[in-house]
Amino acid sequence: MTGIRGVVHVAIADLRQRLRSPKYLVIPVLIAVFAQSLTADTTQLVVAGEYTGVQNAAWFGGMIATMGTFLLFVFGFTLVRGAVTRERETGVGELVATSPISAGRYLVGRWLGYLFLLTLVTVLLILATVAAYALHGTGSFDFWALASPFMFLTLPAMALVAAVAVLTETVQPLQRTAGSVIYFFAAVAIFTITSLGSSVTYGPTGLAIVRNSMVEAAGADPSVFENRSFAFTGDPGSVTTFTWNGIDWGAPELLSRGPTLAATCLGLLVAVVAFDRFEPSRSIIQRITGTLIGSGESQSEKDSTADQPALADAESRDIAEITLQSVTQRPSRLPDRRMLTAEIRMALRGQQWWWYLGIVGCIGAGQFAPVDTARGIVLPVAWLFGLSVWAGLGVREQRFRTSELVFTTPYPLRQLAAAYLGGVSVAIVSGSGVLTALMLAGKFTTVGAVVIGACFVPALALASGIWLGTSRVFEVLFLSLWYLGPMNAVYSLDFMATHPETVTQGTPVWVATATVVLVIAAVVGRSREIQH
Amino acid sequence: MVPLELPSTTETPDESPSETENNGPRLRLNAVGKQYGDFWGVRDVSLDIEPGVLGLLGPNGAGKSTLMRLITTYLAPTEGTIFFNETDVVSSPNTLRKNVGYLPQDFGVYPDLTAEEFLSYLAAIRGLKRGEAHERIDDLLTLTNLHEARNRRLGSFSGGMRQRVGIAQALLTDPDLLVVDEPTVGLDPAERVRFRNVLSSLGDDRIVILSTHIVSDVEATATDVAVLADGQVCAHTTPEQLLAEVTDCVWEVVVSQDDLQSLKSNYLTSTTTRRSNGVHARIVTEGDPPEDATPVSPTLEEAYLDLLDGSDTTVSGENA
Repeated sequence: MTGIRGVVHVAIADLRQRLRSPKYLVIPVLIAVFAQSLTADTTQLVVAGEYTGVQNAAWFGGMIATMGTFLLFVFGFTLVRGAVTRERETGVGELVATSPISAGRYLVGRWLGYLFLLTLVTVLLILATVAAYALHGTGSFDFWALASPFMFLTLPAMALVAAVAVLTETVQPLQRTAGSVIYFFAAVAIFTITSLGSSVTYGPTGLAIVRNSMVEAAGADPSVFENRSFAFTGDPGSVTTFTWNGIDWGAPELLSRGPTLAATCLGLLVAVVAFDRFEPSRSIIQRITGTLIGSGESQSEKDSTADQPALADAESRDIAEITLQSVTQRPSRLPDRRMLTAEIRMALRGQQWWWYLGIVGCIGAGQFAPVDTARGIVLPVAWLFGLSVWAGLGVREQRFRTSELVFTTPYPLRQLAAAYLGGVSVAIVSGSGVLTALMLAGKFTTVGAVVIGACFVPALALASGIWLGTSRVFEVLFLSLWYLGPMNAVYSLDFMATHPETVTQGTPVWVATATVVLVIAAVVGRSREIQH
Repeated sequence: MVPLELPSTTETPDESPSETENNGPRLRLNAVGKQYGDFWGVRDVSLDIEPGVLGLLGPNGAGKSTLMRLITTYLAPTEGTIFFNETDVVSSPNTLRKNVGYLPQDFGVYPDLTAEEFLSYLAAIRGLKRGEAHERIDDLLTLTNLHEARNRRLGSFSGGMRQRVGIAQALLTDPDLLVVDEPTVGLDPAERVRFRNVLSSLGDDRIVILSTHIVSDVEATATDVAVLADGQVCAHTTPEQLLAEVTDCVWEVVVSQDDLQSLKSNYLTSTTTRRSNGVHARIVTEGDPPEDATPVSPTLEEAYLDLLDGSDTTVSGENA
């Protein structure tokens, strides 16, 4: 009983901490906009290429549940992740590590906290769906048909998202940007393979269950490849309307959630094994051994600094013997070369050898690959390497509690400018091979568009970091834009101009405008931080 | 003791802190207040500070750190004005920022940087020349006994070593105004004494504001004392005058363990020490002491406790 109480308290503490932040007020607003945009007359869900449903309660529930589950599956990870990392960075982890709570109970508590938050979002989605039905729906109100997809599809998916979030916070290489990148691509790939590429219903979001049920109700065969189409569109063309009364939840539908819940348990299990209990000096082998033989709760007796040699000089000099050299301060309003170098060095600090190898590889490939390949493939890959550098912009001072040291220096905004220029430099250098190839090919307009993109990304990182206090939002925004724009040819989002159509459609103009707005937002935000 | 040699900062002609050579730097706070929601962190604080070490004392939550942040421009006051060398630092914060060294109470470091790299980074964003900064950092690492550890990552530093890095960064620019908030926390006794000597030397020609709970640090270094309680200054005076307030008021009494509680409930008790003949307790009272009490010389801590015990009264010294 005490164990369960401990787990629940860990979960509730996390939920309280989060819900007291005004930043979370944006969630109900986003949900309301989301529900309204899906259920308004301007958007229709078309299944099997030619059918759309009567807008009853079941249809609204199925429609919003599937889209909402997909979005939460991809972006919910970013929303919840961070509690374990926060405890590691604030020192609270040391208190947890020396408390009697086991690693398993602690991590289950964290998972439960994440799940509480995602459940709260799911409840808000249900309420938004009810409101949307009241505004736009027809027929009798069937709450079970409306809400059951959220209960049986969204919540199991959220359990998995929460478990993976905990897992990535306990496996050291996944704790930062690498975890966000891998999760984003894994989530999109899993969704695409299990939900869009198959009519089998075991996918984590359960989209196939809803789609199969709708297709069957429309009188089509859900196992036929062409009938797997499931599209939200503003221009449905000629469609046949049918009535769908919701999912008939039987054993096959409920059991299809089994793999998702099993994956949740597996994720938590791996997290418990990998968890270092906030004591990074223990190797993964020691942790696994400790977990298996039941000694994982004890803190290693060696403090991370205890095995270091004595640090004070053996013979400290009398202060009277020390003459401090005089110094000349030359603070100017603009960042100088020395400051810019310092910021770039700071941004690159901690990168692994393979990161530099990757950047060098991208520069070389950009120069020697065919220009279209360089532009369409090498440049996006090069800037994916830059993500881990940009993710630190705007949040470093808060994360490492150096604000009071940095913001009380003369003209502190020039440090912001230097950090921004450092971020731009990383984009330019990593894309320099591609830029060279474009210049040699005489595509100077495209060069300009790429440079605009290079200015845009660090501006986005700085603004979101400063205003939101976390790098996770920038990471997911960058990855979403990267995936939709350059990779899937949504030209209006192609901020790095990887497609010729992007330039002809004038996207760089909008990117430049957004860059200016974001830089202004970053300056305003930092000015607020500098003098509260 | 031979004073630590600290040449004055050379300023470029276009940036002119208005310090005059004859008078030294001067900091004036006029009715300064800072409000957080409905709560005032500090209110109606007026201080006139000249070169020397000002010890800032006060209980937890008295507003010491808020006052430090206001002085260093990290926070903007809700009301009142702050002048440094006759320049309003609220409207022109960079005038002060060019001349301030600040050691916050709770600060972080970049754990992947070495001590030398961290100081180099801060020197760069403060506009120090590369060569001068290198030499200065070298001296500061020696001064703070971190020379041997200069190339180790800060993530592996102990709390005391990290604190010494904080002290070093506060002295990077040879500031006219040095603001240190709980600087000796985490330092071992030898380092604490060493840093107190540094502070004393620095206070000869600049303003040093030392906020601490450790009254003996103030006693050893300060030329002036300000006591904050409930966000307001209840004393700004010299240590001598603060001590004079409790002259003939401090007594030592030897009591049994059983009688100690009774003594504590009747008198302001500053210290108790167990000895073979009983507990030796030092009490502060303006009234009649117990019969067998013997008068002793007061300490600054006793003067401070006495002041807080009756903090309705405001003590003002010549400098207040």
